[in-house]
Amino acid sequence: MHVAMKDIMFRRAAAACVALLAANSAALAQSAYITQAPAHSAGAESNMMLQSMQTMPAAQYAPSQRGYVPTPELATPHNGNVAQTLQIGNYNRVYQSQSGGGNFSNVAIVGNSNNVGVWQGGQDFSNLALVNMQGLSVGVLQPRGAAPLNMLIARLPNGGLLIKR
Amino acid sequence: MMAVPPAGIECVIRAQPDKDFLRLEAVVRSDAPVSGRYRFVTAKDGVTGSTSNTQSGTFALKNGPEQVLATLTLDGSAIGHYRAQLSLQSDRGRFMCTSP
Repeated sequence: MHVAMKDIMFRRAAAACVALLAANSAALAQSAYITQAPAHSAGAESNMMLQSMQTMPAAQYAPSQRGYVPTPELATPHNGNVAQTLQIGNYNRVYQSQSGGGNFSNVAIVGNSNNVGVWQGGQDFSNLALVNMQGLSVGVLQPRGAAPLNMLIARLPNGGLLIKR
Repeated sequence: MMAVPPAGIECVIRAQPDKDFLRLEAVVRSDAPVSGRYRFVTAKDGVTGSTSNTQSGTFALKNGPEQVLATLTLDGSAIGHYRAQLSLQSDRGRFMCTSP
């Protein structure tokens, strides 16, 4: 019964994140592992820090077939900054700092006691979703004009950790 | 810092709550061209957790009567549990507004 309830909660959480990750559809058939950034590209890459992580192959993962549907904020030319925060659970903390202009940050958390910090310097894009996570701390540092970041970190019903980028 | 904006300039925090989300927009309105810097600081402490958000940058209102400087969307638990402050520093003075 407990396992069934957990499975249902996970499915609901995953469904809630599908809409938030619609912009992620461009990343088709990518590896489930995080690629190590070249050392000389520090100025152009986003820097991401995870407090603790383990990776596992995502054999059951199927690439999304949804078409790219930009949100109204992205569809309309926007000179300023846009931030979105969705928290489902308890004791989650999100800090978003955007300076300059043209930043977009979306943080979606389904879980408890997670901490997320996002710092953007201008013309940056980040989309981060934590699903079924407990007590995870994530920091996203993007200097001006950094590469866009799309990341899903999910705790699977079997206990595995899925990191999709 | 002036609490009342100079004549012709309006500082607005537009809150648009709906069933699931709260959308906050930092807006500057002016009849005449105005430019400067803005800082939009929000804090929410609800049952799902806390959120702190700081957005800053420059603005230049030339053609339209208003410009959206920053947008923040929070989950529905923020309704009634948030505070937002928009500070503007323009060539026509400094001013700020708060919400709620």
